[in-house]
Amino acid sequence: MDFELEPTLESIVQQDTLKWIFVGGKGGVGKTTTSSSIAVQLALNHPNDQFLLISTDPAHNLSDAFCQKFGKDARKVDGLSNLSCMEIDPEAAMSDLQQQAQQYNNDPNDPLKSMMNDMTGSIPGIDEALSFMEVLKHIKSQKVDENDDKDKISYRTIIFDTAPTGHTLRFLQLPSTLQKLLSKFQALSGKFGPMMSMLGGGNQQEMFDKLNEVQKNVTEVNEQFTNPDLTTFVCVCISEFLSLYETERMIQELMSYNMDVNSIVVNQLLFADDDEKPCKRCVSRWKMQKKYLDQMAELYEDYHLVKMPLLGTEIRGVENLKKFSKFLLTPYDPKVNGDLVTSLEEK
Amino acid sequence: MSDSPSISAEERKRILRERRAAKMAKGNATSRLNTILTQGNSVKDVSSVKSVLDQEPTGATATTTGNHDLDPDHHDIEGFINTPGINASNDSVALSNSEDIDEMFKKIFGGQVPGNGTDGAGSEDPLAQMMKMFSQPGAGTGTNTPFSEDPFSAQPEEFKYQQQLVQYNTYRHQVWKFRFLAVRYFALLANFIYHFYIIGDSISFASSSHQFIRELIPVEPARSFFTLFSTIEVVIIASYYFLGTKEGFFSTATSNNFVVKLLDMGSMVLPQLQQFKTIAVRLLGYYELLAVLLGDLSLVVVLFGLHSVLGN
Repeated sequence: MDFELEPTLESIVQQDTLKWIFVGGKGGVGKTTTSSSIAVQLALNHPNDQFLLISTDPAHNLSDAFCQKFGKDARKVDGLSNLSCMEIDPEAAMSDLQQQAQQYNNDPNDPLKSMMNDMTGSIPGIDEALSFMEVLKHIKSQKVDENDDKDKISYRTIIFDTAPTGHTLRFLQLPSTLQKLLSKFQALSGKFGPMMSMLGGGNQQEMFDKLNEVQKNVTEVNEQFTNPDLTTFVCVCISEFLSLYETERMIQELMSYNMDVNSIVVNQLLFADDDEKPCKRCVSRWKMQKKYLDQMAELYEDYHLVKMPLLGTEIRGVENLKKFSKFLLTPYDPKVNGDLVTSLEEK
Repeated sequence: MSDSPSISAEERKRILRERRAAKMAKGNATSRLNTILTQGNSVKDVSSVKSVLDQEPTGATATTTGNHDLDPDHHDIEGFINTPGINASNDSVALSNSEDIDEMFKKIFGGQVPGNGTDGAGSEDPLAQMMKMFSQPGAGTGTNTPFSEDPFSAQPEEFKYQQQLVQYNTYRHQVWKFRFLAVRYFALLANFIYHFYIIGDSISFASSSHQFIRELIPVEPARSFFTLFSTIEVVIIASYYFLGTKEGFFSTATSNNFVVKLLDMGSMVLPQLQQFKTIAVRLLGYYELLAVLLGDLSLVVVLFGLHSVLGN
């Protein structure tokens, strides 16, 4: 049975159940532009719902993309009342957490503290998990209305503009590891509880509570993130060897976490075939791009492969993003839509 | 190329997901990576890569796929996504992690052990001892982990060794105590006999219960005796303290003291008592030094008593 898969992100934009959309890829391929475009299209197509776009990349570009300053707290985009943006550094969130812990317990010789540090260093993915939990906690604290439920996320869909590092979602493999670790700890706690209490002055109970909380949160998040009805990952790449290779590796890694990937956005395409006065460099580069596009078509026939053009200027500001993002839902045709390349307002 | 109109959007998505998974299974993930490398890499003889999806499962989760139909278009595809290549990769990671957990615990708790258990006060830290106990590997097979049913039964040799170590330290404490006792008595007696014979007369170096006699006695001989006595005491007590701390027999002695044992028992109920244990251990050490001084003073009193009785 063959399916003709439309080369757009319409299925993502129209899918009612999606709660989380991750956008990722190598550095410089246009992740921020793509995530902003997806967020803009979601906001435009569902005017009655609220959306949140978050950058977890320490090199924040959302402010640049929207020509508007964003910070740690969600702020509405000027000109799109149902889209908010925020820029969070997960590493900073993590160090905030560590500082809090340090304030609470500033004894450098506390063996339990050192044990906790050793433990976090020994479990692959726990750093990412703790960072992500802090981000999620922060997201939960962002409210559209003052009357919103405190423990519930106020947004219909949250779009993540992720950092280019490959292990952003490594913590998805964590729950089972953490579960086993905690069961060991709990057994230990039952056996040596009174003695540990004597030695740690009651701090170890808080440590268990904290680990339990992390485990519960990670399991809950894991369930959501591996559910294709709730979460999807959009890969962004350019039509070059390294980008293609990294994209394939990323897809495989995400599949190993049981995460759904069904769309790939190929950015910065030149579409030089139909130029009236073709420039030699563009023609040559387009030839190279076509080679990899053919390879992608073969490799990703079961994916939505969205081809986006390279424009004459940088895509900045809500209006420009609206114009560009249209082609995430309607395939770009250089013959018909060619004027887009030069029609953007320079910011 | 045609869509089947009878298939719902949900069903279509599910089939597509399974098709994507199928294309990554059975070593295909690695072969896809190698295809990209072969076609695009400028270095042709690059060594082949291995996909994360094709990592060997390390445990018993590796299941055979049996005679499942691997045709990605086939609807009966559920069994396929259970092959080790796809979803089991997660399980295998989890399993290997679970096998590593004991190792990890060992590392964590092993890192807490401050010394070899014989380094004086360090060996008395109950947490250090507990951590050390946890960090002991299982006996023989290695399956008896520090967190297995009875961690205390894990290493009988170790406990026997600890017991012998305590006995040895107690013995050494006694030996040193005896040596110092001999030196102290010898020095004191020498000091006394020296002054007794050098001074010669029976009044200058003698005690008396009558004040007027005491006032007649020149102060200098007695002062010389006590100066020498104080010097000897300072040297002996300082050496005893230094040796006791260095060799660690003070801590062995104090840990057997009933005050420390009482504090240990009390801290099971009232953890705050634990902080007084260090003070108690230190005070008990000083008490032992004070006992040396008091013992020597007693000997001096006895000697002067004998001298005053026999001399008259």
